[in-house]
Amino acid sequence: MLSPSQYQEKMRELRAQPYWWDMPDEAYKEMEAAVGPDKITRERAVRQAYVGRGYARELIWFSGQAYPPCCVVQPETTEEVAEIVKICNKYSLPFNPCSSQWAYNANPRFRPDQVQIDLQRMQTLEFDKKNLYAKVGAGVRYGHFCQAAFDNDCYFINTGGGSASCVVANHTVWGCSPLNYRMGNAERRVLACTWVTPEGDIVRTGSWAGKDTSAESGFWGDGLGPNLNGIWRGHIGWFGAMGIVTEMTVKVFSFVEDAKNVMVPEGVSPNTHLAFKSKRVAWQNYVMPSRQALEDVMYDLSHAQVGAAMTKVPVFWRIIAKAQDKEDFWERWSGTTKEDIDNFHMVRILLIGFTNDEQMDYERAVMDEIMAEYGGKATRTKPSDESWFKNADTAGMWMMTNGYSSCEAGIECLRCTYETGKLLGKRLWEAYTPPFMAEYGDPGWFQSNDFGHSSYLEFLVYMNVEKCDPISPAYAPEYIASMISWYFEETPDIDAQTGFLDFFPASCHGILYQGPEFSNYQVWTDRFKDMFDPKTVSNPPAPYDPEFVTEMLPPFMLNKSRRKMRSIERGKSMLLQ
Amino acid sequence: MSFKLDHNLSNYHWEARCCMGCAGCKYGDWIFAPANHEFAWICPEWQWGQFDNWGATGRTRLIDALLVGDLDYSDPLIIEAAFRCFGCGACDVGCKRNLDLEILMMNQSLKVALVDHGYGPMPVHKMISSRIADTGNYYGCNQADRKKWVTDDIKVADKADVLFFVGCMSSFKDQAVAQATARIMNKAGVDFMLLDEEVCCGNLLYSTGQLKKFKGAARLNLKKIKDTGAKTVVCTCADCYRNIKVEYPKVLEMATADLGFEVLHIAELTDKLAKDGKIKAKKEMNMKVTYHDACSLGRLSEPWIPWEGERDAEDWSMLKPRRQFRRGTNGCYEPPRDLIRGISGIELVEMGRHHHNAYHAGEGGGVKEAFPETAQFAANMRVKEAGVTGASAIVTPCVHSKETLSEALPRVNNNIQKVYHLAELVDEAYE
Repeated sequence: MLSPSQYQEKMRELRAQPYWWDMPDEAYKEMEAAVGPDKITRERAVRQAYVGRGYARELIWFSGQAYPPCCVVQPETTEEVAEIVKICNKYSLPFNPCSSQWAYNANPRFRPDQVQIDLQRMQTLEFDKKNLYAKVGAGVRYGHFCQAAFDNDCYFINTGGGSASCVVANHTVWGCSPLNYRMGNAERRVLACTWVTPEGDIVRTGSWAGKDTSAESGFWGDGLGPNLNGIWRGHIGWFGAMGIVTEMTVKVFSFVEDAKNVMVPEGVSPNTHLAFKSKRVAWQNYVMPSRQALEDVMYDLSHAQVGAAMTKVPVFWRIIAKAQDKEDFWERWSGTTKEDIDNFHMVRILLIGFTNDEQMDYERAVMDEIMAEYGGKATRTKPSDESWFKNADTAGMWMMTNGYSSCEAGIECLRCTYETGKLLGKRLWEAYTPPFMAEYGDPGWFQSNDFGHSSYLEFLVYMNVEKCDPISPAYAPEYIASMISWYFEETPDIDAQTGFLDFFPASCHGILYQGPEFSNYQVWTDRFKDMFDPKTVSNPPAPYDPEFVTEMLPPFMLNKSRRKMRSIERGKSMLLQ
Repeated sequence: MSFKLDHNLSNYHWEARCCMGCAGCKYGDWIFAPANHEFAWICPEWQWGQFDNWGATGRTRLIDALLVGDLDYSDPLIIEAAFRCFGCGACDVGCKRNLDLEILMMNQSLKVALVDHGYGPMPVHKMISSRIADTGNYYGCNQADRKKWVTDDIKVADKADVLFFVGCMSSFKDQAVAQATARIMNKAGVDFMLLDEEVCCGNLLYSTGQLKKFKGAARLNLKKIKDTGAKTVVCTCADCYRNIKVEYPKVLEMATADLGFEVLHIAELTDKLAKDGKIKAKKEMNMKVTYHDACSLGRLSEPWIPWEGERDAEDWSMLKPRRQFRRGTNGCYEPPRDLIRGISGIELVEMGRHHHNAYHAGEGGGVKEAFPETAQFAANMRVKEAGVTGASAIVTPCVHSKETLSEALPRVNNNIQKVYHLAELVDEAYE
């Protein structure tokens, strides 16, 4: 264990800049005038509270690449956000928008001079249940949004990032959830929007583009002519590098009537759930006889447009759900063998009788018929929801090892996600176990999206965080080197074999765009970025400041990793011929 | 690394670096999350202050910065963030919904560390602790008046298996609660005695990090209790109950099971008496009420289990030997509700935040004394939330929250007309 002085010495080696950076008084005073003194501070104790959140903290915070912001400001209105952004431009201060602070890019990284724009006070949440859309502010989280949906006899996804994730932020990117099976990806559900550009202009899109926006419904997403929402949203998106979306309207979906009394919270922590008080909502687990049968049944069910969600569950997720604590997990998991993993194929399907009992009966009958064809065996499934409707236990995934990373995530065709998951699982088991947690070749989490039009794959690796922490007695730089090698050398190779487009390297580093497959795309994203953010103040370096990132990459990132990322070629598509 | 569940802040450095900011400490159990953001928070301090330094996840980073030398204990905002914390444990239970970080112990240890470094407690806390030392009670009243609440109709035994630990509030300020509690036991035929000279349980001392003084109070009270030979200690004050049952063993490094006597809140005793047919609800009370889960009777009341061992950094940070966690699961939640439901004519409706996920009422942690605006904010929020249920009264098992919630009624001015201590309601309805 390092003493404070040893830690400071170590951090002086790792940190490229001094930890604290004091912003100019003039800029601070102007911001204070814009929002009022209660909503801004540059006290160090507040700034420190915003350091090192969410994913990848072991790579960014522990390695000295996360800095406190130079101030924290909590605007309450779009106009206040725009004012702050304009002041940032005036003084060339980079800004970093955040709400849940759950993403890689929602905290200052790599530089200490960023203004933290904390959007959590923006809590607009209005439903129009008759017209199936809702207006949502940038501070609203999924858990609250989902309950609001139930209160209005609607339902909505809960994202893979968890209930604490921000609804607006997730709609600027893919916003993945098993419930996307029926609803499609989040960025495609965006309607009208209020967007503060990187230079501080307020742009309103869709129905809100009219002069009197307060009179407009927000029902439409497209404006006249081109849809400007396309500038800031995307599968990968800009992660705060194209200004700030402060509010939007999103599509919501009708549910079983009297929804709030159908999905009833029960239990005492930690064993709580939404009890299904209607037979028109049910999860059903099936064990399939083979990996191939699992893949085929997901394909066929999707084509039959049956179900409301369909997801393959990694075995250890089930053990996490059963484990009383970390030690219990390891006791249970230590009895698992590669054979167990190879021979266990479970698919979890959500059925909803949206309209009546007959719809439920029909869906179940079709499902049973298809399952019978592939030899699927229904297993006892609780009449409740522990995760995905309102609660999503993403935080619980930290329980086993206190750290994990999604090394791959993306949306491709069903076959591509199957194959990519299999190769990743195999390679991880053969060459990287240890140092990573033994997953015995499990092919990760994948699900059907858009009734099988596409599929989502997320492959997680679980690491011993203490080995990444310079303050821990277990600290091992070679461990971090293995992680880097896995993320930046191995996974791109596998992607190249299957044609899988991995979101994470692109969203985190921008470097992927420099590969030969993206040369023209990069030119045009460069032009957009230069045009809208000439001073590069909108959340640098995410996701698109490759030169800056290349310069500022943590010292442990090997040169060969950089070269690999620059040279990788995308593999051949696995779409069915 | 060795790890001991005590009040040494450095023991929680692992927590301070492991927290990834999932907001379990901010919004609690997502299964119970409401749509209305005003009633979504479970940390009243954070909701009051908005910035992340006021909440547990931000505090983890402050503690890390203190322990690695990026910030100093003298920072006024760190001191304020620590002592504006009510210690209600909502963050702890919220964290343990998914993870098992010892957030409450970490927060408490921060207060202790600040006191040890000479930066705490707040001046008013020092004044009150001197008053307790001088007079034996929180209010600085004459100890000779402690039993003045005992009216002629109340029968107190000289010697009994049950000891009624009355507490400062019920002895001196809200004597109706002590009287109601005593009458319930009288009606049920439960003989009880009182301490010859009860002294303050030390709730403020513990919750403001004055560990050495609190240990003194714990030793003194435990000796007094043991000297009586009581088999059961009954409390009507939820804080006294928690201190005797949980915090005394905690600071004296023993298990609740080793106290040598049973500790019951009047809610637990009365529920048992009702289920055994010793008392029966006879009076009809036509009203709609909502129940406030006081943290000291609910999520914080599980027995204390000391633990010391290793956190194996090479083996996924596992604790060796395995330990049992206190997650608020086995708090006293249903007995008070069963008692209320047992009263004819009463309709019990739940607030959005209840059981383990309940919001605080603004009375604990020395916050009311040092930062009344934060305490009032919390109490106002709770009364507002209670009003949304359509209830006309709040029932609470805690004398202190009865006070803060009652004080909030005119400020909020909604449909809530009255705040009952559970004992008062039971005394009125049960014979």
